[in-house]
Amino acid sequence: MTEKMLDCLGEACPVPLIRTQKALGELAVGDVLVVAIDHSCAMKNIPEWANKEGHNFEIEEVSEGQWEIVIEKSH
Amino acid sequence: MTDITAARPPEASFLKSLRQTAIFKSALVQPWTYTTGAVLLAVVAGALLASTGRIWGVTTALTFWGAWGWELVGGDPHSWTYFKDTAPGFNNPALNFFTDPATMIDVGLIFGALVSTLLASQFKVKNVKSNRQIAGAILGGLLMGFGARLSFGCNIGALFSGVPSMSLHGWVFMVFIFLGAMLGSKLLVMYFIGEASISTAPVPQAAPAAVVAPAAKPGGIKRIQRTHVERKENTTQFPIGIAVLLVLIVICWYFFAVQKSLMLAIFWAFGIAFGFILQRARFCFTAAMRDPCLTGGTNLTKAVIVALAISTVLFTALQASVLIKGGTLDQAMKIGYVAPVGALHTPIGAFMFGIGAVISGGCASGTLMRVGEGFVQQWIALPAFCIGGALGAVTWPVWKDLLMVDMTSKYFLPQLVGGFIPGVVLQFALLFGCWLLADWWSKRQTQA
Repeated sequence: MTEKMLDCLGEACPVPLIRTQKALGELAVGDVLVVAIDHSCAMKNIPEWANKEGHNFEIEEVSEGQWEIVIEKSH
Repeated sequence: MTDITAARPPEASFLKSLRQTAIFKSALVQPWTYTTGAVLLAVVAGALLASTGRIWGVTTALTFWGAWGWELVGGDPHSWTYFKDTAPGFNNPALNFFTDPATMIDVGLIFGALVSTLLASQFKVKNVKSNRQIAGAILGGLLMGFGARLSFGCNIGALFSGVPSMSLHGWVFMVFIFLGAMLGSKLLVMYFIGEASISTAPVPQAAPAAVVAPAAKPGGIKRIQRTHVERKENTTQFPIGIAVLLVLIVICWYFFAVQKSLMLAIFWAFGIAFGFILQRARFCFTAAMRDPCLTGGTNLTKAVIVALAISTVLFTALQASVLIKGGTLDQAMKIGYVAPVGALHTPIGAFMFGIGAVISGGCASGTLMRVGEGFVQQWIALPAFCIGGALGAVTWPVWKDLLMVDMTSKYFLPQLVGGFIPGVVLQFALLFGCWLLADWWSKRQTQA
């Protein structure tokens, strides 16, 4: 099990989601990806995508207008 | 962690516990669903049309801003035939930034989005990460501004107001903004994003147990190898949000009571409402057009179609009331926005607009919303948008002939299919078809 950090601070939609899709694709089942974002739409569309794909996820509000989405690759 | 809160003054902990209450959270902190946003936007747009007889538009004012800027640097936009031909109100000597209702709806939108983020304590100035984003914002802003002039409207005027008006122009615009967004997505991935920064998380230092978040949450996931979350104690921005909201209300009262302009007050209030709803629901028209091809998501696409269907009900009810009073179809189509389709200008303009919206990271309403949210990328895109609009207006004599603009080519669906009822049936059939297509696409994507 490894944990990767994906820093998408300052990046606009849909870039954080595209990067998340790609980064998670390169991980093994059970690995964890932490995506750092400050785009207010990405804190909605990344969890939505993870949910649709059936991965476990958590949203951490790190500070004002800044989040970390933690995704565990489930399959 | 609790000792931090204990040391805070009581007001701060009151606001902090207020923020933890379920109703506050779901109303003001967590994003609303797209469907909630769709319903509210449609109802507010319908209310604007019913109360003022005018539709929600964004780009005409932005073009005015560009033209006023042009005037500041010594130009003479009042001599442009564009305004004489399409927006004669621009040459009214009493019209300026502070007396233009369309301007106030745009400025209100920016501040509505700002209030929304402040009340959620989520305001942050979001800098760009890569210079490529600056290039995308400038190029995208210019394309949107220019495209919106060519096509007589943007995702709001032409699409969100045009389609529910049963305007052929609105439907043509929708097809081509979609195609433009597809090309824009390809360009975005190829040219306008920098390198991904991905790294392995740091290995825990000494005594990680004390600082790590709970190892497992019910139904959640195990957090591994996280030293600790770099978490600042959230300062609450809620009081600032309330203060800004009060200022906005005072301005609204000023328009009404001092300037004696009900129109300015109404447009200002509606702008704030639109900005607030857009931000709360993260309602992004660009994503609705872009995501089906780029990320496979169609939730927003479906929400836009739902919004258009609800607005259609409201718009057609207003149009029907004209017919019931003995009016003609020609009179009914004045309720709403039926713009000339022409031959080439609408498809080309909508296509440019779609490309621009994707590479700049926001359409007309999205750009304004994100200006209020603190996105530096949109602070750059907005002036480019206004300049693009001014360039579109000043070059009108050239492209008017080149693209064979026919100002009489205003087509109302009921007139094309021989009656109001068949028109409404066609409209809903088209919307339902779009919804089925989006639904099928998302299922197909999941299986793939």
